[in-house]
Amino acid sequence: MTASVCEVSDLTVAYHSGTEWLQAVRSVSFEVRRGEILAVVGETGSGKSTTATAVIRMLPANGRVTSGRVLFDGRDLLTLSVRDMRRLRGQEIAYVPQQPMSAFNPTMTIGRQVAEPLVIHRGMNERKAAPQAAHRLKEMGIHDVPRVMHSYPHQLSGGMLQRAMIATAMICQPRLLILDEPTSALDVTIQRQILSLIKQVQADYQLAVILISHDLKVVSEVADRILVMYGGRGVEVGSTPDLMNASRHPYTRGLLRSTMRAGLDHKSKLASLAGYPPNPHEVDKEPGCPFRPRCPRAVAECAERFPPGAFEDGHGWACYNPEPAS
Amino acid sequence: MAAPALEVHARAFQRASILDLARHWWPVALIAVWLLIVLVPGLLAPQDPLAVNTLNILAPPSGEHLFGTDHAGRDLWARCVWGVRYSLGISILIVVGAAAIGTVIGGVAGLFRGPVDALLMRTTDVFLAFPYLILAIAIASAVGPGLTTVVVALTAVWWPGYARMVRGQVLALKELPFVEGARAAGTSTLMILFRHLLPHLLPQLSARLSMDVGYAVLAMTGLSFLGLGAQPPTPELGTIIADAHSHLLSAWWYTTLPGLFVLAMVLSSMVVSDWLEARNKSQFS
Amino acid sequence: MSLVAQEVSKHFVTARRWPLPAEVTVGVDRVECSVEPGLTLGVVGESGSGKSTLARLLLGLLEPTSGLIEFEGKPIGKFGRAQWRAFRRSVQPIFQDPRSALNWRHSIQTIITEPLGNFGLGAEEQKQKALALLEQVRLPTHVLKRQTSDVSGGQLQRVAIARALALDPRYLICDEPLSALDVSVQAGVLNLLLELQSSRRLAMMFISHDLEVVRHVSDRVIVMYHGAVMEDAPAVDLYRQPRHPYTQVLMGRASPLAEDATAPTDIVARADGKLDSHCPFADRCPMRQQRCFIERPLLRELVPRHSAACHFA
Repeated sequence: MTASVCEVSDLTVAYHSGTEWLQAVRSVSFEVRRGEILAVVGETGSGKSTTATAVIRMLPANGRVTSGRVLFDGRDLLTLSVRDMRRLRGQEIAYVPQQPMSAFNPTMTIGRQVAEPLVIHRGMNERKAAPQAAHRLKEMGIHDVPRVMHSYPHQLSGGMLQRAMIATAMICQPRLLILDEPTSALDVTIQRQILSLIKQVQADYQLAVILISHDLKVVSEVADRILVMYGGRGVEVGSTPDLMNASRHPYTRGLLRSTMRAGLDHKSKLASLAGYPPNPHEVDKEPGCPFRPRCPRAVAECAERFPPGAFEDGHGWACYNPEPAS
Repeated sequence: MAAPALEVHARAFQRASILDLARHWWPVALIAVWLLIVLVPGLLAPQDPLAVNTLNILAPPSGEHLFGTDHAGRDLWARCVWGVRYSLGISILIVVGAAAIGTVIGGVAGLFRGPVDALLMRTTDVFLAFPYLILAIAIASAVGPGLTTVVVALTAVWWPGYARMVRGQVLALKELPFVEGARAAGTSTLMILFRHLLPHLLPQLSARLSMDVGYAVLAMTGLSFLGLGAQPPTPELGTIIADAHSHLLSAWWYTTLPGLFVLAMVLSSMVVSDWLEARNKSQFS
Repeated sequence: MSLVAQEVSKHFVTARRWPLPAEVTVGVDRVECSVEPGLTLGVVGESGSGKSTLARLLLGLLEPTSGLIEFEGKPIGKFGRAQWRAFRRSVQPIFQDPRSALNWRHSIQTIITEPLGNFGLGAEEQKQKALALLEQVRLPTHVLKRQTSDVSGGQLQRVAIARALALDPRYLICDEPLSALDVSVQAGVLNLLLELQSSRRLAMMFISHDLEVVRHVSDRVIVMYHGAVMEDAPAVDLYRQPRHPYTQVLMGRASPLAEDATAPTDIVARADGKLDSHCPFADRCPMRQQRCFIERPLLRELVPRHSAACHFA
């Protein structure tokens, strides 16, 4: 087993909203190893993006990590000085935010923006950094590099911008790459290409990747392991085949059952999860399992305390009454 | 994804207006005090602002006349309080009237586009290009000076600003999906303007409105000071200052008090406008 | 008894360059389709393919640049006031994101009853009808008094469906009705739409980028690219044997040669509105030949009821 690059333990994050603190992420633990893609999957309000921004310490001003540790190379990122953290970010840890269109500065050419980390972190001048930027863009599968370098963001398609975004993230050769919903704004054909690009970059550089997504089906194509989040809790984690074929948590099972697949009768009724995702204002008052109100397998204990994790060969789930192993 | 979700729900919190009122009591109190003065000036100033007393002219502040008397022996405090009624009350009328005209014209122009839009907006530009002072002088020379002159002149030059702003807003809002949804539900164009667009315009309109009240007070007292507006003995602040300026050296209180009232009104309008703007921002960003 | 698009085009003027001719982009390019009672017309395509423009044309929210939209045999361009009212009653939309498609300053009751008020129902009747509608879309009645920000996205989309059903329409134009929703509630909303279609014999147009969902709900599917129909076939045939190279690319059965590098709005037509005389997909097509750059392929029937716009399909 390869060494873990980033280890998150017992992470709890709260937001201050008007009058009170609301916990958006509650006691979440996971690790990412060298050369692996970990997908963090969840729906609105599950805390998946908050988890990512907490790891790189880029929470919005009203957010705080209230407990937990984020070990990167044995150092706790949460206790680093702001300066050390800034040095790490962009060099060792790269982050690709949602929406490539709005993540680029509309008044600067793509070439300058891709090269920018080199100017900032390595003190290069722009002229020296430009060939490296061009090289990275080429590596990201862009054929028309000179034109893209001199384009402004609004002149390029979403897929092209996402490639440029990944080039920017990779330019200092980080060891951990965090991508927040890298494909959800893109078309199906482009989605596939970006995912295979991520896979290829990850393999070439033996990167550790955290891939945040709302779509279990899409990430299952590239992820090595998947962490499923619901209502701020990690509910199931395991290798992709374990999770897709032998999930134990009723939420994961329900999601998989309700997704479309070949072999369904035309216009037939789909299996669907009852109810709606929890309101983020109420979910952190839930002492038990946040999925309980929608869960077909809920038992009395579920209302009292969040279930402890059960593990079997690296496949873990937090449920008192898990689905039978299939 | 978690953070935006929280914001969406946070909006529900901010709508709790009772909480809001408790936290922002002072701008509300400010508005209440000024409105009280405008509606019932007699409450704060029981003396008659028009009662002449030739035996007691230009009396300095004293127990009987808290802020002294003017050159006709009238109580200055009473005149200033009643002056607020005229200056502020009529300024509010002017600005609200201008906003109403501007909103309808701008809204119709933005919604219908085409030749209607072109005609309305070119008309607006003509009014926008007209300096209010010259217009007021022109009207005054035609019908004579007075409050009506001020109201007509200021309303005529004030509405184009609102028409432009509302048109721009409507053009942007019109593209929002819910407007198309309303059209598909069979809602008529005018109903879309009133039911769907106006509620979205109100926050910005109200901020601008309250700021413009301050500017209107300045413009109005200015016109009166020049003799184009309210005529003596009407206790209007500009008129009072015009009367007072020849006594500047002998009776300091005579110009100071009405001046302070004008200053306070303008400052209040800016403060209220800032508050409204900050409130909108926290609510709709 | 159907809603039909005949050779419909929609061009948008992007820049006026008087005295030069204006710059025009093509939103929809000579599309033919028909929405029929009890059946679903699926529309697939990527962003910028003109799917949403087509929906807005069929809803009568946009006026076509050329071509006809016929509602039950009559062209809607010539409708008078009364006919428009009848059209609005019968054809209703469901948009992608209910948070922006419904006025968030209105209460849910106002949202649901607005169309009823437009057609002259009294206040008490409106409320009764709203309660009945909530039951049909499986929402608890207390939702009526809530504001949009108090309910989740999935619930709000059900509110949007209730509003669309308020006038007992016969046509539903659904523009990506699931894609803004959480994965765990999508299946429920889809089930509801299918159920309503069968109980009310609704004619449905279902626009989506999700091919699997379109396959599940559609009887007939059109595939759009750069505003034009590339392939038009019964759903079963299309998924069994996609004929157009673009459809094959979409389904992951072939890979495109290149990614569209430019932003999708950059499809600039010549000033006279005529498109260039080559296949719009030629730049990326894995099967392209010399001919594709010279002659634009027209939609032609390959087997009965299955057509594609490709020289080599």
